[in-house]
Amino acid sequence: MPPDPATVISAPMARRPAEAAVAPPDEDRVARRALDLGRRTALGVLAGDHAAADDVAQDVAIQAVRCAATLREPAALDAWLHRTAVRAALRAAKRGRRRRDVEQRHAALTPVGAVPDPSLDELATLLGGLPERQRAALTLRYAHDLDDAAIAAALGCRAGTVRALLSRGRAAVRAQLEDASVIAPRDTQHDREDDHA
Amino acid sequence: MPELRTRPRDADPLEALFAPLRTPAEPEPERIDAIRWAARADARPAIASARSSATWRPRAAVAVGAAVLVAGGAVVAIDRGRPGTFVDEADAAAVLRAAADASRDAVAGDGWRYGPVTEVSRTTIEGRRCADCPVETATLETRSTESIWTGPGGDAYRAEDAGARRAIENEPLLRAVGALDGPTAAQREVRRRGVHVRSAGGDDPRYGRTLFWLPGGIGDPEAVPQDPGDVVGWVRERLARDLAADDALRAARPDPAPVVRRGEPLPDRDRTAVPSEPAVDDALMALAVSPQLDGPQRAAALEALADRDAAEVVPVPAPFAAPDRIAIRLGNADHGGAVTTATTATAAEEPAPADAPSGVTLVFDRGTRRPVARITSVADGLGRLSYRRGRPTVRERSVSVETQFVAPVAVAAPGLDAQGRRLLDPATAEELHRDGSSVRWRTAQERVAATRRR
Repeated sequence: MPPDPATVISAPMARRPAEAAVAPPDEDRVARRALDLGRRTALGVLAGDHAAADDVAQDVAIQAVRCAATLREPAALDAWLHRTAVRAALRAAKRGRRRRDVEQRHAALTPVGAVPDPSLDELATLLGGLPERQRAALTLRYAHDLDDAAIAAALGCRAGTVRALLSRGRAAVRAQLEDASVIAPRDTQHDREDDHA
Repeated sequence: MPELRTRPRDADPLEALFAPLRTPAEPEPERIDAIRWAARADARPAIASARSSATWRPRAAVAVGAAVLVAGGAVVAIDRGRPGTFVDEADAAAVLRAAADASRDAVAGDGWRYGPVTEVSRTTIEGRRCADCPVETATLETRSTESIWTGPGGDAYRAEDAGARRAIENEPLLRAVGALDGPTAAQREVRRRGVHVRSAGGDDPRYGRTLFWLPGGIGDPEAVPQDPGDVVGWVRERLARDLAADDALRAARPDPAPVVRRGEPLPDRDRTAVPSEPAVDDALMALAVSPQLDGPQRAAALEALADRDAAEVVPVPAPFAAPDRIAIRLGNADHGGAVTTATTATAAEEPAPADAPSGVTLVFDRGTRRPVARITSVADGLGRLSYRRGRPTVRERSVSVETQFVAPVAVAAPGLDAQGRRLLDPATAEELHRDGSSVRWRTAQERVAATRRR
């Protein structure tokens, strides 16, 4: 006797009732979220390189749409997107370094990387001198308001490492701002207290 | 400490710096559609390939795995990366629409924002194999930095491959251009004056023009005159008619967005409907290479070209030498066109100048008068060779030729012996003849691998 179709369909659901209650997010929403989140993250990690950030966002979005239906925890979509976006952006940054190396050896070639959005000029300049992981940590904290644990999950490191990255990143940015006389020099002791806090 | 409280401790400068990134942005609906399309598994190879063509991309097109060359504010051609990855023409048409919109925005908004696009050296769009559509095969050749350092799949090319060329066969996609309602902006622009992409080094005439194909295709092949004098008049009439139609179309439906290209006004927008003479030459060349025409008609076009000092008979290059073959070089050094410009060195024993412009040589079968090979060489150490096997309907295969390959295929390369092999590196010669024919087809991946081996 063939099994009842309803039984067949509901059998896996019965084993995982929690998943049955949460419908997978629709493709549109996933794509929008991934594009937005991926682009903002990539802009920070890539220090304002819009073209590369668009690429990263697209990669993340395409990957997200492909995986949306199989996401075991739809509620964790943002965390997954953050992690994917950071990885993609770091990969793009690595490729960008290789590319710049090649271009520098061939100075006749036109360099790219103009920042079309003037509002990002300052940020791009300041982040440009930081290591990519520091940029990523700062972006996740200041652009997405993630806490240390979430940043650690996205970066694939410990929370302590995140705190170190943030601290060094802040210090480096502040140093640049102080050098440019944008902000007043800070008391070193106070800085340390802030960072520990 | 009162003095500490007065300091603006609460105004974290990083908060202000990151403020632009805190605002969510709503992506364009076309882009969402494109991403959904690209998420389908069958689009994947094209996506990987499109990344390597990042210089030609409006975003929507990249999202669907297609790289788009934009010239003069118009989508000129789309690089799918690999033939056959589009599902059907409806998809391709939708992609093209999205790409057209995106490209207009991109060009109008920030010009050639993707810097290396200014280094696109040439664009060749040739009408072949299809009577209904003027475009089937597009060859995009770029000097972009992107194509230097990444290839399909992201593999790295040697930096010395500057000027690496890409051949893109876009049959379904470019056929979709014709499937759109009315001529696209690309068709209008290209029909009007060809594609002109300024090279980074200035307005070098060697780079930046396209083969000006016969607008709308040849049409009825029987209508093409068989007399060399008549065929020129016929071409002029066809070009003028199409330009006039474009003028009327433009007047009725102006372009929605102004074109800004590096801050320069678009030149020659309001040209009167008179075809330029290089355009006539190009159209004659389109006739000369068209498989739609019979022998006498093609011969008439060739003779007309020769009469116009736009073609010359040259020695058949060694790989294609045969008693029944004749080689005709199209174009001359003064022509100014990319494909239609010949090498300036006309004799095999003369060394080619270092700055010799590129040229194209067709090898014809004397009996059928059909081209059996098309040979292009450029002076920067890179060449391109295309040839047909068997009947002209057989799909043309392309060969990207590196520096070592230029000598054997260049018509006027210095130091060639009768067989054209004197300059061959033994390893290279072995590659050239490995499959028993004149040239071994090398994919980009193979080229990368060969480069690494060296």
